[in-house]
Amino acid sequence: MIVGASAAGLATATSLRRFGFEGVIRLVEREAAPVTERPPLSKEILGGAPDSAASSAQWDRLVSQEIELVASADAVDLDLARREVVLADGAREGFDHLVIASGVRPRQLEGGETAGVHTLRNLPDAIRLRAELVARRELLVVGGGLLGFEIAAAAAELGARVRLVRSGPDALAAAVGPSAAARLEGMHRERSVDVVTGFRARRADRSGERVEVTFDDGSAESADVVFSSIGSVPNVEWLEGSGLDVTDGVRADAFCAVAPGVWAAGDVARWEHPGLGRATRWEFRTHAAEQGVAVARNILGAATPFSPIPFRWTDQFGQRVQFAGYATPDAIEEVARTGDDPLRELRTYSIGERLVGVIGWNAAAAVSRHRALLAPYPA
Amino acid sequence: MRVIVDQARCTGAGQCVLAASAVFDQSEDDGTVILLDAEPPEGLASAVEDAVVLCPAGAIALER
Repeated sequence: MIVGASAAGLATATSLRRFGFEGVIRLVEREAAPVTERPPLSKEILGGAPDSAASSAQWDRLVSQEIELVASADAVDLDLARREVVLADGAREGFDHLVIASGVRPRQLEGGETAGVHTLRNLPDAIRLRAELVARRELLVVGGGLLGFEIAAAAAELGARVRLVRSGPDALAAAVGPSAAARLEGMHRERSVDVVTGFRARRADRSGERVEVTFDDGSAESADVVFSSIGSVPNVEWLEGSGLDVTDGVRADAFCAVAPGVWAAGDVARWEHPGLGRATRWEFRTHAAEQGVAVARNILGAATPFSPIPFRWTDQFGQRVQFAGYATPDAIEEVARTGDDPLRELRTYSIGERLVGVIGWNAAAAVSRHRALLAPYPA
Repeated sequence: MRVIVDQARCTGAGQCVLAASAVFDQSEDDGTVILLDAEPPEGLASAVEDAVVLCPAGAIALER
C-alpha cells in the first residue's frame, strides 16, 4: 500500500511493476482524482496554459499497470501492530509493505484561510489564483522562496501590480545560489515587482474587499489578493499515534525504511542521507521520483542506500535557473562559461579537486554534463 | 521498444540524459530533449524505463 499518489507514490508504484512485482499495489490518495504535476502550477498554468499542461503521465498510466487507486481517501491512522492503515471513513486497509508518501501541505498564515489568502498545492488552487491575477490588481506575495518569486513573476506578466515581502534573503539564495538570486531579484525589480526584505508576516485578515497582512513589527499592508508561500508542513498527523518519529517528516534510515516493511519517499521523508551523514528532508520534484524508485528497489530486496545529489530549478520571466549539488561557503566558485550570450551562464563549485555543485542560467545541456561529474557529497 | 518524447512538455531537467545518455541528449539552445535513438537495443530497456519515471514532466513514453 502506498499512501499518497503524487510524484513519489506514483514513482514507487510504477517502479514496483516494472521491476517485476506482481502483487496488489494499492495507492491511497487524499485528493480527488487526478493528481497533477506541481511544477507547472506556478509556471505554465498561471500563464494561461490549459489544465492538461499539468497532467501527470504516471497517473495516466496507472490503470494499464493494474495499480489500484483509491482517491478521495484520507489516511487518518496507522496501526503498526496490526499492519493496517485506517481511512477517514473507518475502513481498515491491511498491508504487507507500506510506503508513506503523503507529502506536505502549505503552511498557513494565521487567519489566512478565513481571510482568503491563496496558497498553491494543486490545480484548483492554481485556477483560483489565476482568476484573481488580472491587470492592475494588487497582489501581495508573502514569502521569498522559489514559489513566491515564481508567483510574483507570473502575476507581473499578467499585468498585476506585485509586491513581495519576505523575512530575509536566504530562501532564494539557498535555492539558486547567491549570484542567481541577485540576478532574479534584479529582474523582478526591472519588471516592477517591489521586493521588500526584513518583514515576517504574522497574520492576515479581511479588510473590506481587500486582505490585510500584519507583520511582526506591527505594520500592516493590504492588497486585492494575497498569496503566501511561507514553507510547508509535512502530512504526518495521521502517523502521530503510530509510535514513529514524525518530527519534521517521518524518520527513515539510509534505505528509506521507517520500520520493518514500512518505507517513506518524497517531501514527507526525512531519511538518513549516507553522503551527508545526517537526516535530511528535500522538497524537490526530481528527488521525489528518485526516492520512489529507490524505495521500490529496496522493497524488492536491493538493500541499496539512497544517496542522491539534489537538483532544483525555477522558471521566471522566461529564464530557467537550475541548481545541482551544493554551493557551500567553502567551495570555490568559478564562472565556467558566459559565451556571447548574457542570458546564459554556468557557475561551478569545487572543493579541492571535487566538483560539488553547478548552477546554470539558461544552460540546461551544460548543467547536465556537469551533473554527471558531480561528487556525491560536498564534504 | 519504441521511445517517444514530447518536447512541448519537456522542462530541460536532464534526468533522461543522466539515466540513458545513449538514448537522450539535450538541445544546446533551450535544453529540451533530443531523442538520439527511437528504437534502442533491449539492453537499454531498464535505463530507458528509469528515464520515463524520473522525467519530472512526463515527457517520455515507451511502447513495446
